[in-house]
Amino acid sequence: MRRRGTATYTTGNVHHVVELHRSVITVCISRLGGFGPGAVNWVGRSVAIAWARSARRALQARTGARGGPDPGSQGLYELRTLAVLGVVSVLAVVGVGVLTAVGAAQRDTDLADASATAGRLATQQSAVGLDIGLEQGLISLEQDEVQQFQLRLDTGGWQLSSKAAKASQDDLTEVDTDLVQVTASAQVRADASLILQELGFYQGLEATAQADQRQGLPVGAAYLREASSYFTAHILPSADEIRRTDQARLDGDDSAAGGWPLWTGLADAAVIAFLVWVSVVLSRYTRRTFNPGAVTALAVVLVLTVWTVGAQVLEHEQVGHSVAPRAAAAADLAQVRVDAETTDIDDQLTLSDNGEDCSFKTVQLAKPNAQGDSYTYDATCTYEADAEAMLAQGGPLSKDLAAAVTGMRSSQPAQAAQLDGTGAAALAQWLRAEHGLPTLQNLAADATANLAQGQVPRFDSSFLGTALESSTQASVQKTVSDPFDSLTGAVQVAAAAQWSSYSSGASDAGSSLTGEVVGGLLIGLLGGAAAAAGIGSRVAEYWGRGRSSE
Amino acid sequence: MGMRVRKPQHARGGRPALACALLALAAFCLAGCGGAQGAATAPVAVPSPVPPTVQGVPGPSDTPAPLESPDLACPQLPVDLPMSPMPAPGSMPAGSTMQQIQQRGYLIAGVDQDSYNFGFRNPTPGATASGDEFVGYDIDVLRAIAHAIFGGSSTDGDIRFVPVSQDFRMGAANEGVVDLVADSITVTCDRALQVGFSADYFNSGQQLLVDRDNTTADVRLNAQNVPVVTGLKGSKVCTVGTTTSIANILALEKQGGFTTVVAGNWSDCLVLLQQGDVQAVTTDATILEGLEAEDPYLRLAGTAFSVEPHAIAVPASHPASAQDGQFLSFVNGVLAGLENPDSGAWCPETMLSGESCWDALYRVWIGQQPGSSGNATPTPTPPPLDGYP
Repeated sequence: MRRRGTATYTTGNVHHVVELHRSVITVCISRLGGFGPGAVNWVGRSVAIAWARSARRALQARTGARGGPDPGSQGLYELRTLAVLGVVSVLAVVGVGVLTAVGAAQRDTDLADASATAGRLATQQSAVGLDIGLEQGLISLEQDEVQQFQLRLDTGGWQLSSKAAKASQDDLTEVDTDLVQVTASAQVRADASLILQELGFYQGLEATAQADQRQGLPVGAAYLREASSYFTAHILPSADEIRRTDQARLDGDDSAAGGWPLWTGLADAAVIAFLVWVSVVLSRYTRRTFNPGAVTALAVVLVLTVWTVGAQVLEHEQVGHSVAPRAAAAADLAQVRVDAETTDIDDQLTLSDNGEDCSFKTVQLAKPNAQGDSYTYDATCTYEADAEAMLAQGGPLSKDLAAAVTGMRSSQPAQAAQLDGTGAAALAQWLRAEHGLPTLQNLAADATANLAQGQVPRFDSSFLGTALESSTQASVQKTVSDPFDSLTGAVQVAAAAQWSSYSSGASDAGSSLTGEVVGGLLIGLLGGAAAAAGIGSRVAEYWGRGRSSE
Repeated sequence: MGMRVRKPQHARGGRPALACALLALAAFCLAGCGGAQGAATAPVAVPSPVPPTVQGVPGPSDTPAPLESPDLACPQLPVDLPMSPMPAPGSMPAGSTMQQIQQRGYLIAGVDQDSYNFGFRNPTPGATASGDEFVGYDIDVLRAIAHAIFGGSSTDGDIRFVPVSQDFRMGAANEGVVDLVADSITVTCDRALQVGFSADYFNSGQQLLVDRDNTTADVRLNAQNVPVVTGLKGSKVCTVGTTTSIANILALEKQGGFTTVVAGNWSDCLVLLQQGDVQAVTTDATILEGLEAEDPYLRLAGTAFSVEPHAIAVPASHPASAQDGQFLSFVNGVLAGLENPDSGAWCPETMLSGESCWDALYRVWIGQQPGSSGNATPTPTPPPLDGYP
């Protein structure tokens, strides 16, 4: 197994160690040269020759032949320097491997987290879905109360009280369950805790409203109004904060998974520079001959760097082009749903409030107008005004819907077009239905329009058939449930498609990282072993020289 | 003996090697720690609930005036005498508003929906024989008017109720949305510019409603008949905007040392009082008695410090821009029938022997309220129909 240039000094353990390393590496290199193409064979032979020359020079240095260094304090210092360089080189190369593995694992985890969040969003269990789920829970809580309240008003159903209380409790339990699911973020935990505390106060108002209503006291309606006001002023903003926080978490996961591997790249560059420098230093100790271990370690780190950068660039591209846009589109769709749910709350409260949220401003004119009126009246009902502002053309809902459609258009043009058509039609239908709801605001607007046409509203059959009819006849009371269902149904389908596409894209991006965790670790260890063997031979050489000089 | 090791002054690869090694390790540390993120848990603070629709009322307070009847001798307040003889139910005069209403098939009435005893939603309409959706003193007056137009036993089928807020009362009538509004409306000359008023059918006065535990709050008339409020210094007093009550209480604000807050309606004031956000509610005693009946832990404090004649409002300015004198006269005729025990007019409530329908309505809705302080209020004499107090 020995080759030309093998050291002939064979004193003690040092000889065996050097011999062992040299043999192993020589075998490896010769096999590499033997099995590889010509170029590789040439490299293998060159490294083997370099190794042999290095060993010969070490022998010469030890025996003082050809003017080698004086084995005194200078030699000891070089021994220590070599030992430090060797240890750091091994640590650096292994560290690069570990860092690569950890980085890949982290990005894989980010993608997995994002996918898991997307899964929850798709099933409306958490994050944005939590907000919607929470809102739905609270809305149903609210609706239950409103409906039961209305039922009691309409039918005097005393027996419904216990049923209403049970329904409310079930909804609250559901809300609690939804909140417990989200514990990842401190901010979300704080918001969830706040909501749970606020729910206590809300329940108190609600219970008072129920108790008053059971006794037939009109003040129960006022407590219901206060509960609704508290709900919209305090609880919904907290729920919205949870949605935003989880959306930010999702965006953060996407960004981390798709970001440039800055720290890994810097570490790789630093280690490459370090190994180059180590090779140069070692070559000076060995008369311009590069240490094969350091060179091998350098080559390993270069390979690892190329692999890491290549894989992560590929993943970055996939996340940037396939994953993140889906999440953005899905978030826009979620916002549309939140808008729709919020508007639905306003509509429910409008119907249950019977105009008690309305204010009517009277303005005395300087002189009577064309219709002979000395006063004008401006009616505004809070919930109705909020709903109409949300639904208005160019309002938040139409803008969010347009943003969602735009986000989908590049990836799923057919579905985007379908959502665009369905959503626009539903919005227009909703806005028309909104104007027909039995609110004093709509009633006053219709009356003003009638007066402007010279009609006395109460004697105008068209007026009687619209707002007034729905205001005074519970049997013909209008709702906006059809356009609401149409819009939210279309959005739900589109969102499910986006999340599905998102999960698929995340899976593809994750596949580009396949093997990088294990591969990075193994390559790092291999490079570390090479560095240890190569530099270790020099250390052993100096160590043996030191011992022989004692 | 071991080797002595001396570090050379200019050895190659000495300190730079260590520095580079440390730099490489530092790069790992940074790389490894770069992604770590600390998460601080923010403290949770539960906000205090804010009462809805409450705001302070700015502006200087007027000097309190002596208690006296309001000056209602204004040209826009003609007294339309009760129609006599009244047309038979179902046979309204041709071309009259009453006939238009009859032809339409129902009366459209603006009502309060949460003024206990005067106009409020029936919490158990299914449990009552009539199944009426709205009940109260004002509602019964409207039923009497509807009966006078349509005949038969008037039920909700003859009337379409439009629940109106305190703010919307004038507008509902003025814009011709409803045929009339019965909602404890106090007659004023300014309001008479916007609507037509029937004769005075109920007199009331403004008072204070406080917690039963509050034994110091009081309002009395001094020797000059000027109201003096005591026991509310530093307190908040709730009332509703666009009512006559607000001007009266603002005039007493400085003297009484309290602050006036405005709510959307009387029930909201009651919520604020029950939650301790205000210490008193003020408006007509009739409305306060309804609130008191809702909460037995409240009491009316002191004496009335205003005179509030109540009337029914009818549209005044529709394109015709004129008082519908005939309709007002018809309504006054119905009111006259209610007040006359011998009129034989139909009454929504069962009349006791010797009672007028007006007496019966008062007895049912105002006179004997469970939970109200004191004994049953004796039925007063109805206000005269030939003018305002």
